[in-house]
Amino acid sequence: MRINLKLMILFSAIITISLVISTFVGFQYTEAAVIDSSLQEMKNLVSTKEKEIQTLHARASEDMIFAVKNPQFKEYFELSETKTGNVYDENEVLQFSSSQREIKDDLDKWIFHFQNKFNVDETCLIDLAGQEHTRLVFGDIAPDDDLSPEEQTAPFFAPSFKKDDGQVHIQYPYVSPDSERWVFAYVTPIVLDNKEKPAIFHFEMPLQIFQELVKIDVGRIYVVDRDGFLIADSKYEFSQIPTSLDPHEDFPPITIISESSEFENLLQEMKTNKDGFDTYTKDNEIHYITYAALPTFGWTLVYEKPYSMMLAGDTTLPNLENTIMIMTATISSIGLITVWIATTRISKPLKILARECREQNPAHLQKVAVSTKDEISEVSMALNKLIDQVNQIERQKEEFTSMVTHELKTPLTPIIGWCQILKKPKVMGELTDKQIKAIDNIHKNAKRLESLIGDVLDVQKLDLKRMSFDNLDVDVTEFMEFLYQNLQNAMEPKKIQFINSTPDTKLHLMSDKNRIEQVLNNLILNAIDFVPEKNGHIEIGAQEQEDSILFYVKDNGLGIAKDKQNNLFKKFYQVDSGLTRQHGGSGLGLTISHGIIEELKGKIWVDSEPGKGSTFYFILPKASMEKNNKEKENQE
Amino acid sequence: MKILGIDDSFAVNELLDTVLNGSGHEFKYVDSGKAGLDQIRAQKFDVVFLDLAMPEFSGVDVIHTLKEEGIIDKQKIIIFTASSATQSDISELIKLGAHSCIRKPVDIDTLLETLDKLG
Repeated sequence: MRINLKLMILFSAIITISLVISTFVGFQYTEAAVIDSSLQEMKNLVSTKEKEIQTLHARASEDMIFAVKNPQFKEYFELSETKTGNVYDENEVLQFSSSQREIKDDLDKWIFHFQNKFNVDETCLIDLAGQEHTRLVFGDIAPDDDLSPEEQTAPFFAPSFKKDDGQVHIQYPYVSPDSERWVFAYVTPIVLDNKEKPAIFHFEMPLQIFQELVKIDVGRIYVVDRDGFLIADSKYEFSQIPTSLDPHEDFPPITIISESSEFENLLQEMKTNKDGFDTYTKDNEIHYITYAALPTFGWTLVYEKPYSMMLAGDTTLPNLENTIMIMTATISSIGLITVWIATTRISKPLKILARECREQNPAHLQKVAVSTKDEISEVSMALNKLIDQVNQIERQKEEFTSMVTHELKTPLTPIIGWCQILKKPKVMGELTDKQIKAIDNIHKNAKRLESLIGDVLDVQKLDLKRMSFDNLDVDVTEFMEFLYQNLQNAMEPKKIQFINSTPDTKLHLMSDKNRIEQVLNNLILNAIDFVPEKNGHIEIGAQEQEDSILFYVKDNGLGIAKDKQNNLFKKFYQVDSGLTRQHGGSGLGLTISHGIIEELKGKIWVDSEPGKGSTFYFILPKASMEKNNKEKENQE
Repeated sequence: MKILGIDDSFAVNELLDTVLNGSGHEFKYVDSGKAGLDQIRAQKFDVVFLDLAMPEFSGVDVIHTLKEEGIIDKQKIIIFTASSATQSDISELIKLGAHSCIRKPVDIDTLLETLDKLG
């Protein structure tokens, strides 16, 4: 896989994992934070409610205290008739003296006034004996005969007398016999100057007031008593008509909130801890609760919210979601682009390096030019070093081969030379026939050696592309004729019929005459070898084509099988190695011819079938080879 | 004819010595370009066989020097060229003043023919 892709996939994986982790962690933290903040709100709210309730009680108490500050209360009980004791008639109705009546009427009015101003159902004044002296219910003054003498049985009676001047006893809710609903009672004693407490002043405030206070829009708030009953609950419709005097029958149990044991345990906790917060599970959702102990009756004020509500209206989490998505998109894009660019900076030089290596000519290696000042440069430099070494080795090889062949060639001159001299009677004297034969043999073989060495050198030159060529005008007709004449002798031994079919027209091309001659010689000498002993036939010729000249050498020899034709021009290939080579065949002749024709920008091929002879063709462009030679010069 | 041979190969020189002196010519040889120049300056030769591939002072250098000194036309200079030399290479040297060339390895018969044609 390409480096780019690898790294981009890796990067994507890293980013994905990081984001998943950070999202998860982020959410957890944020959620925790949101819940914390929600809880704090809840606590604040509970605090506020707590204060409201305290205020309620405080106000009620204050109102009370204020009410009894009326000096007429004291006056009434200072009266000697009052002090003496209560007077009843035969119907057990309390009797008032005229002075008592006077003050009582005033007090009634005062209390009436008081009732109107505050949330009070019933107010009454009860003496030590338990006798009501005055009572108002919903503003109605109770008639004398309705005044109860047995108030000492009321639960608030005894505790109230224990209070001092300015203190208020708050009575646990009970069903008021007068208003017939659940009420709080606030009671305070009337205290005379001599510290005597002849009576208590009492009023009842409907529980409803209290219950109204315990209301909330969001979540659920409720007050629970020590026994696990709800005194108030924002989500419960308390009936205003009591069905029982027993609060434990009339008030709902805490289980209407939740029946789980978890919640039960919470209740215990709330009793011990007074203040705090906790959670429990209801309807598969976590509910958060904050509670605070109320100052009265051991009640606990509880506020609860389900998890979903804790997060409701909070924009942090959705914002967080959005933020994370935006960040993901941004980071990913930037990241991927960066990774792409970075890897391209790596992969591009590598591609260039690869391409330069691919396009090298192994015979003539050139340095690669990649300089990125990093590890790739190191590779590049290492390669160049290698190239230098290879080039050096090539040079050494060349030098070696050149030197060797040169050294090999050098003795040939005297060998051949002396052979030639020996055959000159003028110089060397007459020789015997045997001697002449010997010399001929030496000469022939020396010439053959010369030819072989020459071939090897030519092949090397062609391999290294170091053969230089003429680019001169060649008169084809003249040239072919010249060749034709030169080779007459070679046709003698086998008496081969030799024809030159080149037309007489002026054929010219720009090329290297000597090298073309070399090729044609090679082809013709091969043909001589392969034509039959008798009736051998060789035809040479050149034809004009549009942009080129087509040369051919045709023989009626053995022919070459198709599968052998592919390898014909390869080095050292001999079609039939059994045949005696008469004309210095090194197996390189066709290789050299092929090489020369290629360098001359031409093409060489054969058309042959076994038994049907062969025709070797080669085609050369008429046009100049300026460019070709210039390239060579630049190489050297 | 009076012939000078300039070639660093002793084998060639020996060969030419036998052939040429044995064919009725007057032949002497030297084995360096510098020595050859000295000879040419000192005497007049009819023909000079000049090998191109010599170390230090090559045949080409000899030709350039002779041309500069204006004595290149005093004799017919026949250069021995490598078989790989192109026509262009040869014509360059002929422009400078060489007479003709013989390809190496030197063929004695060709050499003698050339001399006959000159004579």
